[in-house]
Amino acid sequence: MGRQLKAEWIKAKSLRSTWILLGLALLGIVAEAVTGVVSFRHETPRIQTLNAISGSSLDLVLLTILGVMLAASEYGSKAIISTYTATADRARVIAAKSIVAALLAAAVGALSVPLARVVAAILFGFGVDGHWDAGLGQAIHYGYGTALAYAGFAVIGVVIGTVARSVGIGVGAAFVVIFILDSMLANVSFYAEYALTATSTVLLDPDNSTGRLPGFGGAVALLLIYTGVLVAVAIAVERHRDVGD
Amino acid sequence: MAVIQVEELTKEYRHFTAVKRLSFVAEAGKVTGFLGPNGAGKTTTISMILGLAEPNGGQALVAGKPFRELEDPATAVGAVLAGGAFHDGRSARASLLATCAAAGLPASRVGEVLELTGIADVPDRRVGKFSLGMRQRLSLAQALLGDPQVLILDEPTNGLDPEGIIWLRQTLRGLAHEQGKTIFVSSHILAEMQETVDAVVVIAEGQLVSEFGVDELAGGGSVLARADDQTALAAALQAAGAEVTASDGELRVAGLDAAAVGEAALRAGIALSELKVAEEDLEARYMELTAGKGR
Repeated sequence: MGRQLKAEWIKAKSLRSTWILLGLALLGIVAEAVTGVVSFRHETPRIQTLNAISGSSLDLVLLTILGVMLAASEYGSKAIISTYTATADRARVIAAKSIVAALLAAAVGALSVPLARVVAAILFGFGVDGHWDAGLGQAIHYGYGTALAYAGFAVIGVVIGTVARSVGIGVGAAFVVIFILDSMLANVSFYAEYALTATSTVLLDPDNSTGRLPGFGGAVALLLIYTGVLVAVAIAVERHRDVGD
Repeated sequence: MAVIQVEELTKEYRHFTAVKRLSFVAEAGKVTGFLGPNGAGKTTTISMILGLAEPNGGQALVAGKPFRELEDPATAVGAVLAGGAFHDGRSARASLLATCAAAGLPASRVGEVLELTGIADVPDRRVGKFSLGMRQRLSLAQALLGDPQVLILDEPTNGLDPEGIIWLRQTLRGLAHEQGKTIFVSSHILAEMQETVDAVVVIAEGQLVSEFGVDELAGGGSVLARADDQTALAAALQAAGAEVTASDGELRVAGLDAAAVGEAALRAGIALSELKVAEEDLEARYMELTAGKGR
């Protein structure tokens, strides 16, 4: 498995599109922090701070696209043939791709709180007038949730990209399934607490209490279950599909 | 020894059967050519040998195992597929490094195979900027990374310049004859194939048409003879035990070599105006075998 992880890391880092998407995601964090600090300037420092350090929905989209691209672009270019002739076990390839996508996305998520802190410092000065009201524990809690959400959505992107085998179709399918269908289903009362969008809302913004949302621990568990099941489905599908179809 | 064994291999799609109960072998130390018209099922067969497509029936074995069961496929089998299998946005070096990593090979192999295939001066150029010929060389470089015992090449001469074709021929023959590797190669350039391969597998409409050695093409041991009195010559040769057929004003003689034909004619007092070993080229044999069988 170590070999496949190394191979997938080399592949991911050698594509310009990977770095463009990660760069955009970092800009998304900065934008979220600025919005959090500026838009809520009349709120208490605590609310300003929590809004600044909460994860970005835009980044969820970008990191889902990253996952789709890491998987689907291999089919469009036929590079998947090189991959599968070097590693015949497709499960390992998909698992390695998922892990690499998750680590890249989690790294972006882990940077969200420090970047928000830098933005707050630039806008208001470090601790001068109290416009930063989050302790270390809370900051870690937000950073951990955001990193998990980003990682989970990047893995879901890999799954969709693997099944779709086309970047265009994959990105379209991700939008429809995650950001339209799931959001609509979230309005159904019994599903509301289990919706992927509800899960991500809690992880990106743990103190959010609007609507029917799972608890933080429940959201983590749901995300792990969703990603685990989806990766297993992708592996099962891919094992029986021909390359080149 | 048969290293690639294809047994009753069948691949069906919704509307047609691409490969139908196909069986053949490719042996170690030989270059085996894989020929057939467009749509004959060559690429589908190669895909099944490489584990990229699942057969509906039969099996394809490499070194006694299905490809997907090989422990280290990149060190057992190197594959060159038509048009290459690389991401255009990735450099040649990064593409090969990824394969090296997946196969557990040292990164130093990348420089070695780039040197060997003549593209060592462009390791950091994106593959999308490569010409077709350079992509082919890169594909071959990738196939050679693990120094595999088996090489499977689908249309490897596409886009290669004459120098590249000669280099490829010499490389493939060297790998087979000097290192004992198994080379299985498909191509439409029949004259080049005749120069390169030792054995030929011909398929059409997904089925085996013929399997033969290139040395059999040297007329299959037959001799062409001509004399003023063809009837007398035919009788004399038949009396000497030969099988004789007339074609284009010549007699095609099987069962006797050229010297024996000359002796038989001399004993019968017949002056030969022409005597030569019959030569049949791969193209003629191929056209004869596949006539009317293209899809």
